[in-house]
Amino acid sequence: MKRIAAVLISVFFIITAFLTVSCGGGDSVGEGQLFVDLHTLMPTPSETATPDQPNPVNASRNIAKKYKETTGTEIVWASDYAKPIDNINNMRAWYNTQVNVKNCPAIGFSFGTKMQEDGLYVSLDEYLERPNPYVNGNTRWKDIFEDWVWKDQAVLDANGRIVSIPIVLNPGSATAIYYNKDMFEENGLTVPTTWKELTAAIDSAKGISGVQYPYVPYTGDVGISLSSWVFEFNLAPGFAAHMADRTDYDNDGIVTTKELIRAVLENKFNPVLCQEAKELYGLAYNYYKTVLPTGWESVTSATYLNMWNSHKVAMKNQGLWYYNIERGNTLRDFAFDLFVPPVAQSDSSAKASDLPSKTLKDGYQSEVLMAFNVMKPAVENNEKLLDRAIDFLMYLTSPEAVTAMVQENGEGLPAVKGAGYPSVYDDAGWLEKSFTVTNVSKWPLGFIVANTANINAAFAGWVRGELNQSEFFTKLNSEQKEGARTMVRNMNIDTTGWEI
Amino acid sequence: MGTQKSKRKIGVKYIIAAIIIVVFSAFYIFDVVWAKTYDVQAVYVSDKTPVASNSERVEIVVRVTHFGKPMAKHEIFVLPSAGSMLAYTALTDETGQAVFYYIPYTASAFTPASDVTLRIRDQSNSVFWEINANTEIVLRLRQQG
Repeated sequence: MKRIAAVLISVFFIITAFLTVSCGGGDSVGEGQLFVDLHTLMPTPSETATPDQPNPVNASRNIAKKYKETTGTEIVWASDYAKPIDNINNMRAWYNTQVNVKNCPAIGFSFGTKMQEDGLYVSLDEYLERPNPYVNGNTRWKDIFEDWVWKDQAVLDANGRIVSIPIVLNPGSATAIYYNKDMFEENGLTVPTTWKELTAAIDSAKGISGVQYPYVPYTGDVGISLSSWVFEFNLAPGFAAHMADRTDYDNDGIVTTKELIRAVLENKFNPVLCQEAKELYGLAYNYYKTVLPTGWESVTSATYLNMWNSHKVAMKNQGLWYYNIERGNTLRDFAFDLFVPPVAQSDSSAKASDLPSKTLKDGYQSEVLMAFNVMKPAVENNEKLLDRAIDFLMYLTSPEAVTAMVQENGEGLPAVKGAGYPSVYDDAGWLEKSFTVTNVSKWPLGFIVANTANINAAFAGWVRGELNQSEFFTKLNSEQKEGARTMVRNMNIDTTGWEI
Repeated sequence: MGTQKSKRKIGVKYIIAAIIIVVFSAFYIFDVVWAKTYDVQAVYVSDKTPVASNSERVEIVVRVTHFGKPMAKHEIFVLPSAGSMLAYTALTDETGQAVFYYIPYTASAFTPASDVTLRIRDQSNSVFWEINANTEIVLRLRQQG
């Protein structure tokens, strides 16, 4: 009897679980609705400001409300389905699950094109040629955006197709370095403008009495990794630009993802043969090994903040959105200011190029920070849903909507011409700063999420002494090539003329 | 015998619980009364009807006094119902004053200009509980010309 009861209960739970997975997600976003992932632009659960959340996200909520009044379409947010926002690995896992349960958002976020090898994106080129009915007098949607965004690798896939619509650009550099101005002045430290000057300032700060952590890395750079912002935005650009004479195959001044794939497969990024690669990885190794103090990974943000307030930290890397939090830090008894995180150039290595600098006012072309894809699994075989997704993206990219989202969010600049930026950047004097032009070329890692993860694991192993340099280089080269080959296969890239 | 002992134990527990409740209630009442002895005021507002634009700044000077005496180094927190602050917290100076800057949102078809309430509280006046002396002001945001 007990056994029969146990079997019946088990069957009940299995059926319940099956129904939950197969129907619960799939049926929840239905007719007249549009499932949307706008990353950190999505509304917060509460629309009321509270001491714990003084800046609730309401712009997208209000835009969606108005959109429903205008078109009848209701927006359903991915944040209600626990969409992770921290890193690409977790995002990819979430999207895979959503695709499997047939409940993939029609508009998605995946750091631009980071999941292109999965074939999830709809090519948007033809839609960008259409007029945007939500922008007065517009005859071509593409024209409302800043011109340079269409060359950004976060917008173009490896075949050169536009697969994401940009809304937010980096505020010049991706982050800022906040520094103890009093400490700098008292100890004769000057604001660094190159990576070498920054490491020298860190060395000098180490000698200041009481300083425990001269430099705190960006909170998003949580461990030893080449996928860190410090590697992407500060260490690699000068080296990538130095290689452009060999990697910019069409000599158009921009090295595309396809050109990087070709260069990897033609052995141009193999650190055994490539001096730029060897020196760049050496610089990254030194950063983690000697520039950052031992144990930096296990220090919490709260502890770093206490140390900053008690003069034990000289500099900390943080987003511009943090500026009014720092202004309101009543436990700080010293003046602070910001400088642009410097880039490694020829004074760090003869294999790194000196890059020009520009202010935002002088037309610095910021890289794309947030861009949104139309997700193929959600809209294929559903022309109506595809049209709805495009229509909402058009609505979202009107200058008025972009202004509302960008000013509230505070993380970056608008990708659309004529839209407003967060005015707190004026208070920080940020528009007058000079930024190094870094968008000539990205530095390639694994292309594919899994290969990049393996490269990062090997790099961490090298820094921790579990691998030697030669073992890391071998692993890196094999993972990089495997990733490049997968890209060629999955993206159907034409390799005619490649020496591979 | 055993039942009597356990009844006595329960009785003692109730008495201890009651004492705790009374003590904490007394602390709470003290803090409520104590908070009323502080005066938090917005003594200057540069523009009570600012334009609903993110580039505007409204200067607000808050003063804290206790029995008429200015209170220095009190932490003041300002929370707007919409828009943001250049800094949400600031310390009062020796005149009991702290300066804040309110940043309005940009009015649009999605969010028209409307009234914004700024809740201002002194986070340093309570002794036992977080019972803050507070005040609020209303700014009437207007649509850009």
